Order: sequence, then C-alpha cells, then structure tokens
Amino acid sequence: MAKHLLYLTNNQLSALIWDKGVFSDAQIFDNYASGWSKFADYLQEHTKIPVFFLTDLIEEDFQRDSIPHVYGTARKNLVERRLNALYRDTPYRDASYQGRAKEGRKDDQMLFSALTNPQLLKPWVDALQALKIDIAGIYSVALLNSYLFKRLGLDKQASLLVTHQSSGLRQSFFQDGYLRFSRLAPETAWSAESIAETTDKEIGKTRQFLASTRQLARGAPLEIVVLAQEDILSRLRARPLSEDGAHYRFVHLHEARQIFKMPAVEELLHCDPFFLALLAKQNIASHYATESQRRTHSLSQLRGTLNGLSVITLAVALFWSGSKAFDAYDAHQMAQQAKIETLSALARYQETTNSMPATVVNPMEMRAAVELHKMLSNNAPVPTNLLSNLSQVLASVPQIKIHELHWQSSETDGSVAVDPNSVPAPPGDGSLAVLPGPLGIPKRPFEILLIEAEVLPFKNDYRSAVERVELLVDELKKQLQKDTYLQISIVKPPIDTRPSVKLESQIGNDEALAKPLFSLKIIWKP
Amino acid sequence: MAQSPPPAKLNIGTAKEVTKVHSFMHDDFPIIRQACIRFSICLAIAVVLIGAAHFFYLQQSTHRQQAQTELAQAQSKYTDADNQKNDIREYQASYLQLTERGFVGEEKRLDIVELMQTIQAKYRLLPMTYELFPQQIVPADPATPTGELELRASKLVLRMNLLHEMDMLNLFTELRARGQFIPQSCAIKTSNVISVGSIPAQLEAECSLQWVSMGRRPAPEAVAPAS
Repeated sequence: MAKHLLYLTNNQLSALIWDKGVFSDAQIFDNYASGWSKFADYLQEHTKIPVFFLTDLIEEDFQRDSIPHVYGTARKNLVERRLNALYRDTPYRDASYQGRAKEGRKDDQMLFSALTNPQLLKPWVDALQALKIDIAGIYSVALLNSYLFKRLGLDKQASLLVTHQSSGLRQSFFQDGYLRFSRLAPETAWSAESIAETTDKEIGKTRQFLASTRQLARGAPLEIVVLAQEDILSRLRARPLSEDGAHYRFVHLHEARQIFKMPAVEELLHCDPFFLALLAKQNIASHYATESQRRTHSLSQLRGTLNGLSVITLAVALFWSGSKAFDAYDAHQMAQQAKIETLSALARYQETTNSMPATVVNPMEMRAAVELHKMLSNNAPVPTNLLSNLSQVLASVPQIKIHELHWQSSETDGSVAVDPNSVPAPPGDGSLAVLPGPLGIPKRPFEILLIEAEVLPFKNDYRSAVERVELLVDELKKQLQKDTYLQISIVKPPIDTRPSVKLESQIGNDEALAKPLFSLKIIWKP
Repeated sequence: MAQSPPPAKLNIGTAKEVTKVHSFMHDDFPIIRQACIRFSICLAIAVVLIGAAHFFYLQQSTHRQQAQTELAQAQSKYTDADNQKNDIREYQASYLQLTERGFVGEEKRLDIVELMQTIQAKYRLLPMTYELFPQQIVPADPATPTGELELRASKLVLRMNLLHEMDMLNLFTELRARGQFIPQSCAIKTSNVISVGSIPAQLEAECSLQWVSMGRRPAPEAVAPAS
C-alpha cells in the first residue's frame, strides 16, 4: 500500500510518496505562506493516500516522571492529567512507558513529550484537513530514534546517538535502553570540517548538561554513536576526542543504509531517509496524533475496509451467480437431452408394442413357470445316483450286509439349524408344511443316507469287522468324492473302542448271538 | 434637569459560550458515507444476483429432474415391453408344453391313479399302497416374480414290498417322466414278512415324494370366507 510521507523541519516540509518499496522524488515546500499555498495545490492530486507526518523540530520537549502503578481508566486519566499539567498549550503530546522504579512503591516510569509549538504544524495540518485527507499519524524523529537504537544493536548502557539531519544535529540520550531526551541543534555550518567541529562542540555541551543534571556522572562510560557522511566522520576521527569514559563509534551513511536494508538508488547526505524508511516499511503507532485525527484515521480505515468489502461482495456474488448460472445451463442441456431421449424411447416402445406377438398368458408368468420347472429339473434330488454308487461299492466289499437304508433330501447338511420363522405354517390336516429347500429351490439340496448294516462272516473277529467298515468308508469316499460335497461318518462302529465310552462285548457264548452291527451316515451334495 | 440614562445591564455570567459540539453525522459520517453507499449498492446487487441465479438454477434443476423421471419411465416401459416380447418368443413354446404335461394347471389326480396301475403292471411290482395328501402352497423365492401363478405341491406316500431296490427306482423314473415327482425321503429295510403267494418279498420300502405343479391363484372373493 502506498504511503504519503511528510517530513517537517523548522524551515521546510518535504513530501514523498512511498510505493512498492521506492521513494518518489521529494517535493520541498518553504515554511511560509507561499509554501503553504503550493502545498495545498500539491495535495489536490494526492487526496487518496494516507499521510504519515514526520516532524523534526527544535520545539520538542521531554519530561521524565513517575506515576503510580495503576491500570485501565485510572491510568489513562492520570496520564491525561499529567500531560495537561505539563503541556496545556499543545494538542501534540505523548506519554510512553519506560519500566518501573526499582525502589519505593515501584511507580511506573514515564517519558512525557510534546511538540511545544503547534503553530508550526497548523498550516500543514489545516491543508490536509481541508481536503479530508487521512492523517495516519504524526511522528517525531526523536521518538523514532528508539528504533534506530535497536537497529544499531546498542545495549542498556548510557548511549548518545548523534544523527546528522537536514535540519541540524540531533542528539538523543538513552539510558537503560530507554530514550531520556533528544535535542536538535540547528544547522549553522555547511562544510564537512565545520560540521565536524560543531558536532564535537555539541557533544561536549550535551555531556556537560548530563553531568550538571546528574543524569550521568563525569567520567562515567558513555557510548557515543555518530551517524553522518564519511567526510564528516573522517574529520571527526582526526579530532582529539578522547575523554574519560567516552567511547566513540562512527557509522557512515552507507553502512547505515545496509543496516536499514535500503536500496542504493540515491546518494545519502543526511539521516532523514532512514527515519522515512522506518515509517514506510513498518506499521508504527502515531506519536502525536490528536483524538480527532485518530478518529478520522479510523474512519478512513473503515472506509477502506468497506470499499474492499464492496469489491469482495461483488466478486463473490458474481462468481457464485456465475457458477449457478453455469449449473443451470448444464441442467437445461441435460433436460433437453432427456426430452429427446424420452421421445426416442417412447417411439421404440410403440414400435415394440406394435410388433408384440399374440400370447396366451402374461409373459412374466410364462417365464416364471419355465424357469421354475428348469430349476426343479436340474436341482431336484434323485436317490438313484447315491444308491447306485452304494451298490457298486458293496460289490467290492461283499462282507457287508445291509439291513436298513434311510434316504432323505435336506436343505442343510444338519450343521445349521433351520430358522423356525422361515418355515411356513402347516396345513390343517396334520401334515407338515412343504419347504422349497428340499425340493431343490433355489439350489440343489443335500442328500442324507443312513445305513444300518452288519459285517459277515464275523467269527468274533472285531478287528477284522472294524477294518471292513473302514474299508467300506474308504471305498465310498473314492466313489462319491468327485467335485461334490461329501461327509461320511460312522455313527455306530461294530465295537466302540474310544477310551471315553464304555466298551461292552461277550466271550464264550454262541457265536451266532454276537452281531457286529454298525451304522454309517453319508451327507452328499452332487 | 436632564435625566441620567439608566445604567447598562451587566451581563456577567449570562454570555453564552459558543463551543463547537462534535457530531458524528456532521463531522465523521461524511468520510465513510460514499463507502457505505457503495457497499450497500454492492450488497443489494449481490443479493439480487445470487437470488436470481439460485432461482434460475432451481427452476432448471426441477425441469431436469422432471425430464429425467419421464425418461426413466419411458425407458422402463420400453424395457418391459422388450422383455415381454423376448419372453414370449423364448418361453411360450415351453410354457405350452408344461401346460400339456400338467406342470401348469390343476392336478389331474385320476391320471395319477391310472399311472400307478400302469407302472405296477409294467414292472410287475408287488402290491403297494399309496396316499396322495391335499395340495399345499409352496412359498416361492420372492426374487422370482411369478405373477398370478403359485407353486403347489401334493405329498405322495408309497408303501411297498420290493423284490429288488431297482423296482423302486424304476417307479421313480416312471413318475418323473409324467410330472415333477420329487423324492423327499425313503426308508428301505430287509423284509421280515411272510412272502405273498409264491413271490418272496426281499425288501420293504416307504417313500415320500412331492408332486410339484403351478396353478393360478384363486380370485380374492373366492378365498374370502363366506360370511
């Protein structure tokens, strides 16, 4: 987002536009009626961009004081009262928190500051307000020095930051990491040598002031950082600066440019662009904006939000309605296609109906009768197959004599119980209801054959009898097990030799009385 | 004597201070008035656009559903007709044969009585008894629609003495050739009865079969109890 940056000194106002990371050329306006008039004309073309008003004035005062540690409205009222007491005649005033006192009741340490001559700002601010231009904030170079202090990596020891501005030489004193005061000495020299000399003198005055106000004892360590052109710095280095406790650090403007990551597009003469770049790149809260200006700025932001919302609303509505319109068109095409296919299907139906052959009954009933008959013919149980196989096996085991055969058709192999709910109600004549399963509907049923037989001749030879029965079972398995379900079990062996059951037999009696009877169960599904 | 003019009134404390009262509508709202109007217009346009598009879509969607339902109905009618046509071609001849064989239609029990006599004479079977129980309805598979036809079965119980088990199997084969006689159970045991006449009985058998056929369901008034 573009920013309109104004840089006000006691003599002039510079106006620049920051857009896409680049500053435009500065427009300079004298601090006289002619300059104000030109500025008003200039603003006509820049009414839409919010203004960031940076001041670098001599008339800026700093007072460090403490207030009781309270919160909320009480704190706000307390600060307001103190500001009214200190700076009754100016609306451009600020209070910043600087930690708590280490002793006593641990009050909050505050730095109160103000632009003590509001008349210097008035013509410029009036011109902005006349065109209802959004003033995003009124800033002070002195207070922005805190950001410069952090960028230069200075620690909490006493430091004096000296910057060479277009308006003069600004010295900002920091202690415990907080700004204590800042002072602007107006530019009175123009050559590098004379500026270096002035700088040396002004630093000396400030040190004297610090000592006299007991902010810093004589000889106490003080880090003095000077930001200026290399010409000035080289002359400063050549001067005898060694004083007790003072440690100088010289930062030329090109080095500072790298610290601030500014593009090297123009030659730097002063430190002004660093502060402007700070304002342009960062969102910094206003220092001296009045309540009215803050409200106007909030409303301007609201206006921007509303404009953005308007665009988004319209875009979303267009997208959504476009999407729905596309869906509607798609639905319309599908409906048309369906209508064409319906007409085609009806035509085919009519053609089929006209060519329908004469029939005796409903075709569905014909299909059902034929399919059911086919199913019964394929699936109905036939005992002939099982009995024929049994006859063939018995021919190979002639010692087995059959007494009884029980054959039946069953829907299950006996392992699954029949669901009583699926069994239809029996008729009233006492007979059982007919189930479709044993008939072969819908699939082939199991055939269960129970054989009761005897091994002959026996001659009390149980071992031989058991072997004959096992042979019979083996032969049956060979005969029947061809792609079929088969299960053969000996229900009752000639003699039960399992350890878990009681064994009963007889010896010495008439051999004719002893009969090795056994029974087999065959479950078969061809 | 000229009267002295009345002393001028002292307006101490009565002068009204003219102070500018801040008004939101007068001082602040103008800043956002155009944006508010613009947003309201955009909102209204958005509502109208979305509403109209949605209404149009619903209308077209209803038409599509209606057309697709009609298409499905027409296709179903055509498929049914085509299936019926194919069924007639495929099943009519077989159906007529089944009707002639007695699988479809009312049971002809007299034919069965005569058939049993014929089989007994043909295979010179020993005397036998049989019972044909009342016909019952067999619950068919619901997945197979049978229309007005229903599956029925009559239980046939045979008790006979046999010289050989093949006699029984031949009887089954003969019955099967004349109808859907489906064996359900059979108990065969070696005979312990005195032979009849000069023919020795070897085996005794008792078998149960189901005579399966299809018949038309009676009309509802025919099955309703007379009241």
